[in-house]
Amino acid sequence: MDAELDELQDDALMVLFANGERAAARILTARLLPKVLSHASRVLGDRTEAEDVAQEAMLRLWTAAKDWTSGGAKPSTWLYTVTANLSVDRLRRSGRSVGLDESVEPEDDRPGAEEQLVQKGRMDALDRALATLPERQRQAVVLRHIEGLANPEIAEVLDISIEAVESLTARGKRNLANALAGQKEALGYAK
Amino acid sequence: MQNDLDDLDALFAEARDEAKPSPTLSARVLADADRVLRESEYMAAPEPSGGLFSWLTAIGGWRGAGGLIAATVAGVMIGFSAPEAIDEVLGGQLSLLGLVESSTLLPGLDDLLPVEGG
Repeated sequence: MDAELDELQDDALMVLFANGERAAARILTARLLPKVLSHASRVLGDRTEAEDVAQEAMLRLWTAAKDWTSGGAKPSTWLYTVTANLSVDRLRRSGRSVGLDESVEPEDDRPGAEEQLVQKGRMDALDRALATLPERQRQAVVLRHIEGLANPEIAEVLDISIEAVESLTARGKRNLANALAGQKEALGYAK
Repeated sequence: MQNDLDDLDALFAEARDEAKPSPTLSARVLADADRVLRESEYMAAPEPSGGLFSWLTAIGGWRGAGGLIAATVAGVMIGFSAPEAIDEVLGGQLSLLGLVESSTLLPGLDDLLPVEGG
């Protein structure tokens, strides 16, 4: 049964779920939860918080299923939008948000930073660098370069133009590279 | 700068492989899905149809059924007891037609009629 359903698109599975098909939930979870969790983890920089956000986003997906129409919005795009909004809410509530004009310079030279990076590993370094980016840049970079979404889909998720996505991802990647420059040894990329 | 961006691409690739949900998180998410389904099934459950339930609904539930039963019992009582009194009021016309027979099984309603000269 699962194998047959596995061939269906996400929106068709949503309609099946709304009609009481529990197997559809299993397939949608297997397909979408890793994406949601990855996005929330990178944006929030905290695995526990990211898991809570991912669960909440999936719950909203289940609740929205009854009004879903096949051929309408893509569940993954819809879910990325919900996850982006939930993550930003969390960042703002915890005071960790970086506004559009408040990009923080990475504190490369603070005491013990390099030792910390070595201990926490490369992913922590990436999270820390991502955390220095303004919210929109961070979301765009994660969606483009880690989640692998195309620019039109990112534009839909973030409700901005495609040109704005291109600008955000280009600036975001440059800022990330700057934030990580000088930490090559800690990152394990020293030649 | 190009080298930095290349390193970044390698880091992105590593990040892509990292986010595997734990079995616990997947279980939490599926439990939510089950709960949403149960609630929606409960909300969408059809009213019991046919038989006693639809009949009860049509007459206004148990309260309506109580009224109907009381009216039926009263009707039966009147049916048994009233004809003699009604016959009197009608000047014995029902008796002449053979529609009224005297019965002593049940008390009549004659006592409720006004007594002449009383």
